[in-house]
Amino acid sequence: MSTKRWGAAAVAAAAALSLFVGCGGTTDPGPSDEAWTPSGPVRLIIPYAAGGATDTIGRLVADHMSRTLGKPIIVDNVTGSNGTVGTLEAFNSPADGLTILLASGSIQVLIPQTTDIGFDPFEMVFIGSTHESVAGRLVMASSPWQTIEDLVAYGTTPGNPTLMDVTSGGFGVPDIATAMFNKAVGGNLNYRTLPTDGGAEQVTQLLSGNGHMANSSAGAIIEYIKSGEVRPLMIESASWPLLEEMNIPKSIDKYGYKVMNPASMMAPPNLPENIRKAYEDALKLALEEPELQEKFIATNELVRYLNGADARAYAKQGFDDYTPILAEFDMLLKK
Amino acid sequence: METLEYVLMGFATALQPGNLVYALVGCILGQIIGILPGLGPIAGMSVLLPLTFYLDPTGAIIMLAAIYYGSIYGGTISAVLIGVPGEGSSAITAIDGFQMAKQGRGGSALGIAAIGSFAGGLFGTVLLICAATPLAKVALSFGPPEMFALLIFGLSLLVGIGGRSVLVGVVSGLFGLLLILPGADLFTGQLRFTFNFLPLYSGLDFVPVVMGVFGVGEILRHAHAKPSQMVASGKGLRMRDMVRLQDLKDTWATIVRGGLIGVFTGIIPGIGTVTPTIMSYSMEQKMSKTPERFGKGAIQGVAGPETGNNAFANSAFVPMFTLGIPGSPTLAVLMGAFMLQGLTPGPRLMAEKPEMVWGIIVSMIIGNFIMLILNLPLVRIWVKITAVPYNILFPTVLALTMIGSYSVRHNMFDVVSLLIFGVFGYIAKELDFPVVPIILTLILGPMIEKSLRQSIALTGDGSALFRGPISITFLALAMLILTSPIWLGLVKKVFGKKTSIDKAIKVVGTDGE
Repeated sequence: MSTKRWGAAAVAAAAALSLFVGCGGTTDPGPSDEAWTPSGPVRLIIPYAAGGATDTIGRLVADHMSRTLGKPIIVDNVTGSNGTVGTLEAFNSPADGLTILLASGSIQVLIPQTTDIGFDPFEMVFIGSTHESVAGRLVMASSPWQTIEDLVAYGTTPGNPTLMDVTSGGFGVPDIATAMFNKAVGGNLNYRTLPTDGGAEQVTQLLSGNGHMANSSAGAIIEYIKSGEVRPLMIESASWPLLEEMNIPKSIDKYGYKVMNPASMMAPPNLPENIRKAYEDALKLALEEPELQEKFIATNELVRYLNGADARAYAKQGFDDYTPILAEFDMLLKK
Repeated sequence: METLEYVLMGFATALQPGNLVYALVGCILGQIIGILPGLGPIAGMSVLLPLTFYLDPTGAIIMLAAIYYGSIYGGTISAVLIGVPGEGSSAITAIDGFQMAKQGRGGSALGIAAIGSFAGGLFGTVLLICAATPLAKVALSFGPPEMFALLIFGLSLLVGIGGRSVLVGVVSGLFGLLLILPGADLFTGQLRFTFNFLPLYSGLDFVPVVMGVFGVGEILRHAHAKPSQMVASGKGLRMRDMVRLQDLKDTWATIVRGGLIGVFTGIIPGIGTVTPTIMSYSMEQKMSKTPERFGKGAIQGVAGPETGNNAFANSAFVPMFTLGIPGSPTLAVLMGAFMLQGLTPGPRLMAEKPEMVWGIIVSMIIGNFIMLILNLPLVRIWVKITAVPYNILFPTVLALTMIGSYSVRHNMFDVVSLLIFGVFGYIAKELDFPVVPIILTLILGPMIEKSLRQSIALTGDGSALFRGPISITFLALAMLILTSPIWLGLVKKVFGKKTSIDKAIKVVGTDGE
């Protein structure tokens, strides 16, 4: 497979060379001024199973970008280890513009510090950012906690039973969120973690009363928020339009922290700048297309465009914010 | 009344054109798998598992379920016509069915088998419908400790009576647990047992392991055994030979008894599809006024077991849908298909996705009608399938398993593990080492680990495991089963003779699928 791609790249390079030779004598065209287009079909690796929010957004964007760039962009779901397997596959691909990646938060902000994955995702070239996951603190509607203050008062009063915090398994963004929440309220929140497979199981553990609170993204829980079975107490991401309409307060206003879980489009290290720029422009066009924006609403994610430099800076900020928390939990990789 | 509403909801799902097509395709594929000697339901289903990634969850499960009960129908045809059962549950049918075919009454045998299978399938599905609603109501009272106790109980049933002995079964089950160790830890996300080998970061995938052990392993075994192939003739297989009033008069009571046996054995996990056929056959022989005719072409010897195995196949869905315990390895593969779609069968799924679960249940009723229609007029077409030569069949299936393994995660490692587990499955079967517990722990293991660790997390010390009557009861029952070799020995000493339990274990022990 990869030899084939190398072959294709070589042919493309030879063709490019002959073009240069052909127009020899003119002034230096400056390769970065040329609008680059792919020489063949592009592979967009999405390191998660088909059907999730990142996959849905990725496919919509890929379709639009392929029209801009003039070559098909084929989505390839290379799954495994929370995005690590697919990201590594992209990392190791040739930097010829024929392989790109759309990865969401963990592999950028969380996994590099905690797991020996053998490569640094920040060495990759950032094309831009498509969206960020929403997150909120939720309790069961039949619980006694009407506001976030109620929950904090209960959790910090000595002698009360331990709050079970339902997470989505592993040590992920929800665990970090609760740790930041605890820190913000003085560090004496009496809680313990109940990991689940995420999604539907997270909801069940809340509804059955085995769990008491959860930090969750939209996904499976949104229907329960709408039906009134689950009560949101606080928005923990930068925003969450649905919850804002319900006048739910934000953690950044109340306690000065927020959860960062951005999805970035990236390419293998050392991707030439003209190729990166071509993708960045195509991504911007796709994300600003009104027809697509309507479709994004159904994903319940915060879809917005960030250019490559901003996407990298935002992910790096998440990485830097989370690192001391991971250290407190003794989760950092031992070198 | 609530049940009726759910059934109507199920019809709304099952009668969608797409889902009807999935049921039809599943029935046809199942028929073919059942007819082909050497390709049983479990091998057939595991080979076709990757196909379902590309379908919507409901359609995928409808199709796999149809493959399952379709193959049990199909097994009858080769059992009757060439005396070689397509899969284990038709072995008993072959005794009298093949004799009938030799006497030119093959059509009669297949006709009554089709009618009995239809009746049995309906019995089983009706039981599933009746049991589902009350059991689904307790869904939310099953927290992590209750789930853990239930899983341990189910596993002890499956391991305890599923093989040569409890000890060998436990060893095999523990091996299955070893296979789920590699991957990311549920609590910390840290990698364990991955040996810095990237493909192991997300653990061994269940599909190549199951396809290897049951698909490739089975093929290797048959290729090795060089079985003789017989081609059936289409004689005496006209419609009027198949549906005869006299046959129905002779067998209606047999069909009712066979159905009851099948239904009640089906709800007990781990009994295996052969058991109800043996029970029905020996019961009919005992009740018959002419027991000497059994073995020489008695129509009751076909009608009873065939009704029994289909009633079993359909009622075996009861423990899976209501409790999340697969009653047989074939259903464990089906449960794996649910999980590949991100769904865990059990009380919670019934409560959360009733339209899906009831759609699948109702599709089984429709599927049984489809099977009846396919079976009676099309028998002459099915006969031709028995003539597919192994040197075409086996390489084709092998190629399909390899493509299937790759398609799961787009990873060559999975193809390599398919082949490794294929060789392992072959060796294990040659050595008579039970492989079924491996598959069961492979599928149930991650759930057991999760519910155990969640239970411990609930109170921090594990006391939540014993927090209520549900978990305590199931754990106690599991202990009772796992210690059965000890107290069964004592029982034997006290009563001196071989007990019927002893016999039952022997019977079950011969059953692979």
